[in-house]
Amino acid sequence: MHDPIDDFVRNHWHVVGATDELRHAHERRTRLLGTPLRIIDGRRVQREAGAELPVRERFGYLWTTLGDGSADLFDFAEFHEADRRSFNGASMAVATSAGRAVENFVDFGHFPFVHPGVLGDPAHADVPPYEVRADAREVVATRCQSYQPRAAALSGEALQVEYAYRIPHPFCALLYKTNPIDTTRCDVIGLFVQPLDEERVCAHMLLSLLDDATSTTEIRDFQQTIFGQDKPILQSQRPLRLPLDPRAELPMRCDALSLAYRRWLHERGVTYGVIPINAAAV
Amino acid sequence: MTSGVSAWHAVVRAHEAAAGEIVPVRLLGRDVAVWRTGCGAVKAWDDRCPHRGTRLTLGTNNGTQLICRYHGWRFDAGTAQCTHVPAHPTQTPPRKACVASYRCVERYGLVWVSLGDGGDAPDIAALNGDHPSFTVRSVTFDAAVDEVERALAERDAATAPNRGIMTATLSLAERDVPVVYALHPQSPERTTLHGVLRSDATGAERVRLLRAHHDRMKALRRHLHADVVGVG
Repeated sequence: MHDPIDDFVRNHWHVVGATDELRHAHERRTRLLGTPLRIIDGRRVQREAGAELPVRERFGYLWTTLGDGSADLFDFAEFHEADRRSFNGASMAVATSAGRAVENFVDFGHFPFVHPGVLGDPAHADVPPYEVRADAREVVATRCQSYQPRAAALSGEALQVEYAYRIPHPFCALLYKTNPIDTTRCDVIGLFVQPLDEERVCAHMLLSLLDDATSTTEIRDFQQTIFGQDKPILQSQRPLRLPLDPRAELPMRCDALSLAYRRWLHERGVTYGVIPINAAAV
Repeated sequence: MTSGVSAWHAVVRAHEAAAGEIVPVRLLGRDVAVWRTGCGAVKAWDDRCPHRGTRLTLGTNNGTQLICRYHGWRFDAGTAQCTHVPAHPTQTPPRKACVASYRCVERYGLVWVSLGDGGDAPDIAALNGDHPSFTVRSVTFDAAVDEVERALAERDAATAPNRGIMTATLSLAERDVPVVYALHPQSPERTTLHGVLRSDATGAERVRLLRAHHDRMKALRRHLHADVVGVG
């Protein structure tokens, strides 16, 4: 049978769960790239037949790979700062492809309409130009300006905030958001998408925050509310797989990051959970 | 009426697509957004925003436009063309930013859609003229349209004056009431029946008619789903 998993995706490390949550179970079943897996004691990962897979722990998550484990796994310096709180904000099952989930996460143009009154305001929906660059390692967008009525769980007031995004992995992205109190530093939110198969994911959201006033429960509730607003939109998109051909949908200037992400996946030969350029319509 | 994709198909009872509503319907495997403008016109559009493929039925109907939930793109009722992209409010939206739209009319208390050129609007002799009539609750079966058609013909002596339309009678003690069923193929495996009763019955008589319709639908369901539920 034709193997749908391309080498770029196969050789990457992928999240299979938050270590805190896996620790409590002797055995947990999950799937990665259509492959059924067992997680033993929150530390080991096996295929159903018993073959052991390579594992790593990073950012409070357990990662594994269907490749040989020699690939690098991205890092971000902020995570290692001593005064930061980092925890899993949500692990949400979504019936869509990993690419659509990543694209939703890096798309701040939808805030006024999907998260009105919280992350955006329909009266301030314009997206000023921002900068995008890509190299072999990642896609980066900077100077993304967004008007937010309530930029984080702890800030009650409207702010013009500046975001930056990194996509250092086919199915993971990081968001850097200016901290509302210490504006020289950033809160970081990571979206680590575990592709269960080509059209189903579990999206894990890492919060790495400077905020020590708000309880973990409050922050989780906030993030899960946001996520809950995105989920029906994501599940309604057709096709579910991300079309890599720039002509397949209708990108505008505000979609520069999404275009760069699609091009980056295309150039790395990604076929898993996407509609490759020139492929017949699915 | 012509057959296949160009035929007219009833998709929803007219009052269920009230002003301000956007109703998701499925027709021949396609997702269609049926919505009504502030002036009362019904529209049938592809249920998909051309920008990112989001369902338009998740969005808003402001009476003259459909507004996509994802990025607030606005599509004009008359042309189905995007008139406003909020991310770039001063820019004219590209011509390609247009939703595919289908022919759509309201008749006999039902909304009818043609995915093709439609031809003449649906015309059902039994319902023409000044006869009072009312629609009954639509019923969906896990069966192909031909199976439903065959079952109605065999069990209820229904005849097909037009393709996709079956007429029969509901018999009460006092009299026979003509009933028209419009067959709505959602997909190759799923069919909805929209019923129109030609009657001015009110009160207890109307209740008896509705009960007779309900019993027929129940029997039809048992017949069509016999394989699935294991009863005959």
